[in-house]
Amino acid sequence: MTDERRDDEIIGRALSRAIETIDVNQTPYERSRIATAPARRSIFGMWQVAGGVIAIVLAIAIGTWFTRPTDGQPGVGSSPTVSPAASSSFIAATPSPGVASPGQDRVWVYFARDQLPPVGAFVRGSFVNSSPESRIASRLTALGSAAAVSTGTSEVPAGATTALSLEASRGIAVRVQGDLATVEFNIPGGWGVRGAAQSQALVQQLVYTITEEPGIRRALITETGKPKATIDQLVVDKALTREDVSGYTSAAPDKIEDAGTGGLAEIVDWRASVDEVAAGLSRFVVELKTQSGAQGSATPRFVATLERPTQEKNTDDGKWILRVTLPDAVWNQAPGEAFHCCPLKAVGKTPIRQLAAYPLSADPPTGGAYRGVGFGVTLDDARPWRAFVLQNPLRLVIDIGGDPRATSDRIAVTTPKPGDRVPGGAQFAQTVRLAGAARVFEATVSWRVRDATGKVVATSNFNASLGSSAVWGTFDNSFAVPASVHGNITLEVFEASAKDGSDQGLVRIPLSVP
Amino acid sequence: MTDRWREVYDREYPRLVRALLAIGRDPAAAEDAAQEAFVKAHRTGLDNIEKLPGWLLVVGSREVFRKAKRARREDELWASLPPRDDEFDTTADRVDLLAALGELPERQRTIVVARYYYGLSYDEIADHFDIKSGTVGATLHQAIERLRQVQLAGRLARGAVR
Repeated sequence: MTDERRDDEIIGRALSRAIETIDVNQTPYERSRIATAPARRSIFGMWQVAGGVIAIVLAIAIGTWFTRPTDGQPGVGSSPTVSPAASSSFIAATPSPGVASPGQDRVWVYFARDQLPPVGAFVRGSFVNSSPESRIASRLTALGSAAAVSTGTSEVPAGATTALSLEASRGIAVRVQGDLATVEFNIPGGWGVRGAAQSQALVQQLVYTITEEPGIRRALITETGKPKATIDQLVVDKALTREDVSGYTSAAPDKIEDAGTGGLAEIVDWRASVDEVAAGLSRFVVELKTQSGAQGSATPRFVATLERPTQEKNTDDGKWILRVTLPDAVWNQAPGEAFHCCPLKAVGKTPIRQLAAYPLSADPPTGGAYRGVGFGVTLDDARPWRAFVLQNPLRLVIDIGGDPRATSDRIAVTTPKPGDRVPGGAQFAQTVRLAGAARVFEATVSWRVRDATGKVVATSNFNASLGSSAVWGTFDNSFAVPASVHGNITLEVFEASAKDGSDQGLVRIPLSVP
Repeated sequence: MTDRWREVYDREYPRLVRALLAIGRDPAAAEDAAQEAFVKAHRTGLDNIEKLPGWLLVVGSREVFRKAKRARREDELWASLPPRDDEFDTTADRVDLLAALGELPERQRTIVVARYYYGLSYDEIADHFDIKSGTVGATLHQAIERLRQVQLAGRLARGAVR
């Protein structure tokens, strides 16, 4: 080799090493275009997270998916806490579009969303007859057809996808026993899905759509001649509830209550939103005004419970009811009129099916002011939820769900969002806004930042507004990205156990810095 | 079949993205081009492609340049890298080298990456890029010489070489 060639070789090798150190987004195979083409391509193209992180998270998600304990969820035996009179007025107010009746030309089915729980929507379809078995089959057939519509307006909601092929949705046999529906798929050509993400999406869609039938809470998916289903690498061999597949790693609490400090407060407003505050997050708010003479920072007494509905006659009865009662809340109206606080609104967006208000006392008041008001939030599934009391204006806020990656039983981060590109990579460490809610020991919220290799590059803690009370505290603080950290990072937020310092309620938020 | 693709993808994807990023300097375009290269390979079929790594690089680099012509965002990435005072100045050297690579004509960039990062032989490069094998050596030498100059200029500017 000539000297010249050797010199070239040295530069060439240095260049090769330089290229090797470039930090790149390693889209894992499951999310590559060849694994997801063509149906899921659009949403998975956006993934900006290190392959290693995704692989680990996926492995954890799949590992815990079917084994997650569900004992924290309210059982069948939970009893309503309202008087029969109030309860019946709640149930009576239900003329809504989701009621299953034969001959209807649209049916409610579920679509998958990237990293979020499934979302329900109406698609074209009809019920042949009114037996539960037939209705379940009709919903699945309609869902399969939604994927096949190639022209005209898509029936798949924005931001969602479907993994159930037309072929797989044909030739379905359904058997119903109690709250269990066993659905046998005849799929000589396979399920038509590839990779963990698609398989999981399909199971989510199937379980949610099958259990849409009133009274059905568990779905067993099987293939012709077999007691189980094998969806690509995913083996489904037991009955699954919506909570088994929703993607949350912690269970929903069954009760949050607070004695409050404030005495009577008047209801001024109430509202609910789905996916507006953050993707996957639903928020229910009751705004109150303390009556003259009360303290400025008074808080309302409330009890919130997650219950099974007392009846499941039609789909809008939901699978769960979040009942929020405010015994000292006052609703003023003209004397002699029927209770008309907060008129019924069918929200109709997963997970909130509808909302209703009812008086806690069955007897109408003489002066027109009802004391004690309850709200019922009808839900599609039991996902983690939390309650806050905020001031200016005084309001009770119930948050339901959130991005599963940013949500645990004691931490819920709203900023930054998973996948965000945050400031960093500059010469000096950058502070980045970290906001959300927590219910942790002594209000101490801990965080750490890991670089693309998993090494901890920064860690610290700060205080939330409240500690381990029933009502959650909020925080709007910051975390630090050290200088010279580039590419993909993971922000971990958790409670450091008072006992042994271990991570409790850990959430992992994938982010990137320039 | 799926497993075979998974294996190929896991092995080839990271270095393809890096190579395309070095060649084209745009992370989004590099990822996009790498994905497109795999889609094309998938359509063509594994059994119909000889020497897949080089094939992916050729197809991917074409894709990068095609896109780059539509949107030139050349200096964004490297300009955003902060100056560093690392002990041995190696990061700065690396940045200089990568920046210098971007100064080369498109074809030279790809050939340099094919030779030194992918380790392809002169014959393989000639084959993949459809040029005479006699000209590969000359092209490479020309390219490296240019890299050397730009890198040296960078080090001088920082006072690393006195």
